[in-house]
Amino acid sequence: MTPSGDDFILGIIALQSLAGRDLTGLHEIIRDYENPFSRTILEDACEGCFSEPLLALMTHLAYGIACRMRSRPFSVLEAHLVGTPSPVCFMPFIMRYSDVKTGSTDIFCKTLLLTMFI
Amino acid sequence: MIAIQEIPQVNTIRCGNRAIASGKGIPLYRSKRTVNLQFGRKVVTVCTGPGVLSPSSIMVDLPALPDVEEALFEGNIICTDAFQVKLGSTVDLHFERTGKFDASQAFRLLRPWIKPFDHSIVKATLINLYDLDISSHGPEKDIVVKQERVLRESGSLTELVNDLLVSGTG
Repeated sequence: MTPSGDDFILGIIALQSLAGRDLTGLHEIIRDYENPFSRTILEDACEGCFSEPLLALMTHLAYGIACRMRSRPFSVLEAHLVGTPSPVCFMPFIMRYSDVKTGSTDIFCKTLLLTMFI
Repeated sequence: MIAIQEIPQVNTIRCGNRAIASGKGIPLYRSKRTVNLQFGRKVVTVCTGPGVLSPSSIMVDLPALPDVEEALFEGNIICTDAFQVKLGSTVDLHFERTGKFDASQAFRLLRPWIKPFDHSIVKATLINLYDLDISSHGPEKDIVVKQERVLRESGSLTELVNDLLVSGTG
């Protein structure tokens, strides 16, 4: 992840776009972001536009179908590319904002914890 | 001042649908394959193909990009002191959402890609969600603590993003 967390924010915007949520508040915040390169990427995202690999992933997550773009759906997760979010960015927000904290998600997180961090 | 008629024109391979700006530009970052040009608040990336196309990028038919010191975006032409590019047909990179998003399915699809990276945000999230005592050391510990606090105290997504941008965690 980048020092300014812009990939993290991009992940949030992508997820919120997938969930069809209002991005008005985010747009206002990102307008004041000082890094012009990151701000451009985030403003593009707030307007619903994403880089090809991320768009392919989002389309796949939304519909389970291959995207018309050249990128394979999961290529964005296989390498860190400029302007694309870390896959880990999606996880906290899928768990937190999409009410999937129970069942296999819960077990998975605890397993993750046991195998990775303790 | 750029003398347009003397500058070689470069063919465009593909353009993102938001690679539009106007006025004078300055290079922010440059490599052999990419140059980021800032026009006011907007940054347009000129890159050599093949590669990743983003909404504000233009992919040009060059093996390597020459040095750029100044640029001008006028109409649909970017003119630099080293080359000029006329925008071609754009690729629509707009996400079209028509159905209902299934978060559970998305999680299942993404699950194989969760690897044991030592990401502070994962630790912070797991502490936040499960209140577990997860070890972290050195500078990372401070970041994890800060991120967990941001996650815990944010009352809304907007507030959360604002806090993360201000604190610069990552």
